[in-house]
Amino acid sequence: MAKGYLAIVFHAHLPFVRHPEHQDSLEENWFYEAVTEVYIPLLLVLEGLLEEAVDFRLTFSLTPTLVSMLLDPFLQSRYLRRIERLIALAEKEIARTAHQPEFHRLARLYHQRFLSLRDAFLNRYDRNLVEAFRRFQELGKIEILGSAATHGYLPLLSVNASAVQAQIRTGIGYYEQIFGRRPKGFWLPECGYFPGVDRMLREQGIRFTILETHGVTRAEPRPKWGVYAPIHCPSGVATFGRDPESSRQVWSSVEGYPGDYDYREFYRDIGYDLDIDYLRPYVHPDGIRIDTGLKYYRITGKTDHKQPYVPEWAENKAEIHASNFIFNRQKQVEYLASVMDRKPLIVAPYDAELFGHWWYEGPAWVNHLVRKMARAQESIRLVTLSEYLEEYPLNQVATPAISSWGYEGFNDVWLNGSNDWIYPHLHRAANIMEKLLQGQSPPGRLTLRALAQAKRELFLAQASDWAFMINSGAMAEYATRRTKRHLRRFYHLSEQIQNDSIDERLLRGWETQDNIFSSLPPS
Amino acid sequence: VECESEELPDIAEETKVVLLPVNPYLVHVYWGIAANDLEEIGRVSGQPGRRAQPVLRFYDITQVDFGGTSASSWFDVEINLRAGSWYVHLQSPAKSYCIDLGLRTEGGGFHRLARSNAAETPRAWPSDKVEESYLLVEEDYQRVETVVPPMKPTHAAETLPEPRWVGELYRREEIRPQPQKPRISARFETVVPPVQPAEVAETLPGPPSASEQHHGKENPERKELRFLRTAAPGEMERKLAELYQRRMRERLGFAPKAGGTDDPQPSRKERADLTELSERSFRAGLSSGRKSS
Repeated sequence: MAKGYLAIVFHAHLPFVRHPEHQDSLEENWFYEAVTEVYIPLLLVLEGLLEEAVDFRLTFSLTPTLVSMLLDPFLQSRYLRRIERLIALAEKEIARTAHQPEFHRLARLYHQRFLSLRDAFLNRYDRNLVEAFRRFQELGKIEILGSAATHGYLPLLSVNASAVQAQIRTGIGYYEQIFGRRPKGFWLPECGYFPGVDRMLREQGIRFTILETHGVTRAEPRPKWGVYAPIHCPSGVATFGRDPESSRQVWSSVEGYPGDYDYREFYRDIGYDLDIDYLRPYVHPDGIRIDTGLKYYRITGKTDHKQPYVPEWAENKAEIHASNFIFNRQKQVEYLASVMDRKPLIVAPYDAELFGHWWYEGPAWVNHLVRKMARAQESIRLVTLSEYLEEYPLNQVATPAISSWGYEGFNDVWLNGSNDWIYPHLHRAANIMEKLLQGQSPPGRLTLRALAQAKRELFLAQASDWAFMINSGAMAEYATRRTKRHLRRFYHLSEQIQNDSIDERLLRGWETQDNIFSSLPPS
Repeated sequence: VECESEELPDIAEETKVVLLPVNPYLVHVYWGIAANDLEEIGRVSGQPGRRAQPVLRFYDITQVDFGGTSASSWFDVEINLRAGSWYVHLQSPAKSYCIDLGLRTEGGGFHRLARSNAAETPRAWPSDKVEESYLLVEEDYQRVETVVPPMKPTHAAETLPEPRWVGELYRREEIRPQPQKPRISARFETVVPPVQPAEVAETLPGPPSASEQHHGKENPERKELRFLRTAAPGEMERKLAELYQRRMRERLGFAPKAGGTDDPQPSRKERADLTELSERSFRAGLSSGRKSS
């Protein structure tokens, strides 16, 4: 019998990025890259496990923004074009590298890989990856968490309770619409917790959420079992704390597995290494270099000198690292079980985009991990958080501490000199939204549409991603533009609603562009 | 038609001030001043011989029910009104504040322009307050029960009865109708003073007073056995009383750090402080570089 449990949680999220107004959008690439490198590869790992009857339990949070992008026909057809372009590029690479055997071999592998990804996307999944995740949930193999509508960073929106409630309610409503049931667990964007958000989750029937380590260790009163058992908020919502050990082994840029010298080097992409004229049809039409996904080197060492990638070595390392991860969890569980009155639980949440995008071998690591967990070891078992709560419904009561999983663990990333200008607008807009929804006379059809769109624009402005990007400097300009665009559209719409002067043509344009939650009710 | 370069509107429709915590030692404050208040400010500070300093007056409302006058302490931070926002470093974490934006006039007067929301700064270390109460929550919140176990630390720390078994105990009792809306939490019982079962009536104290809860101090009598739950029929009470008497007999350890041990070599279970362990490991992670992107 297992001595303890391990819950691996993949937080899959992208901001809503969809630009039908452009022929080619650099920012949409985030989505296409993640489909190619993360979502399909992870799904194929799960398919393999299922086909070979390997039992497993994994947890995913698929945010509403990501789900709506995955379900969007426009983005789906653009993705298809993208993967076909990659296949063509790989063919060209096979010819170019004919006299460089170590690269030629890789070009052939990429070609094969892109063909099989295209096949999976088109034939196996009929373009609908969300359905694939839903099916794994129905099979009881994965648990999908709900999340806030557009990944709003709730602690900094909480000045308006209605804004937080709308993020939660809409996120859960969308989940129910897509997955056919209500979620038991809720991913707080950026693990951002403030006292009171648990009550709002509870109002929506949410049973649990996950916090960064110190959200639990600094709870009041002091939790007895650290992060190795959940605590119950006084509201009844259970909060699980992130295990710092297992997260560091995977995440840390210093000690983490992804930095191993045999793994693929992320920063050496032919999109930057080769002649721009050769690349032209495959990069941005304006000649802007982008990551193509064809990368031929391994990390090799700390210097810029890079050696060719050897897939077999990398695969071997992924297996070794999976064993090492299990070994460490076993030691941890053995110790914890010896001091606890119940089976310890290790909660290991990660950004899904680490697996396959930043860490190319991440999906292979997951594959080995799950298989090794399933056989020939008895001390530790994979579990979903719902299953754990079914076994342990009685938990210590404590109020979690204000926390997030951002740098330094609080609000610093999303609130500093670079991005603090956003909040007066977000708060003011939320106030206006409240007033609009309290309007006296029953609104007509056009007004209802404008209200729904105003709500969409506000949701899109609230995404934590913009403040994050502005803070990190990368893509700051785009993030600023997006924030301002949605706020401006919101202000325009609210004025038009108040003055009963709705510009139907403008509204229709915005509805087409910012079409998230297309069946969104106005209140 | 939409213009991408159009600036966002200036937003001071009303005078307001908003407090946003950044981390345990830093808060951000922003404000806006409506046009008619600007005139007022001019009037207050424009009087000859008077100087009015714009300030943020921080009220520490950590321990009080703030009515505007009962804050335990306050301090002023001088600001430049035109800045529109300010970052303020604070000495102590885990405090609640409410602030007034106003003008401090010579002679100690204060002219308030706006009052902020109340906000709490985060904790910077684990709590010292050791108190164990438990909550049993069944699927879809069909039952939520508060259980407060005995506080007395013991050394023969054995395994607790399986929580599942406790769940069974509750489940067998079909004493309440099912909630109307099973998905949305239809009911949440608040804790009321205990209904005393005959067998343990002697050792069941009343609920802790508000002040005790605040300061985390335990009445010694209360340490013997605290057991609060919602009212329920007698049969249920009897079973629960049996459960707790059995626990008492088994001298189960509950509190990892509770004082008063008379055993010079406490058991392994008592020495383990998993909160401290998790916290240390978390801090080590902060300094070793986390997200690779």
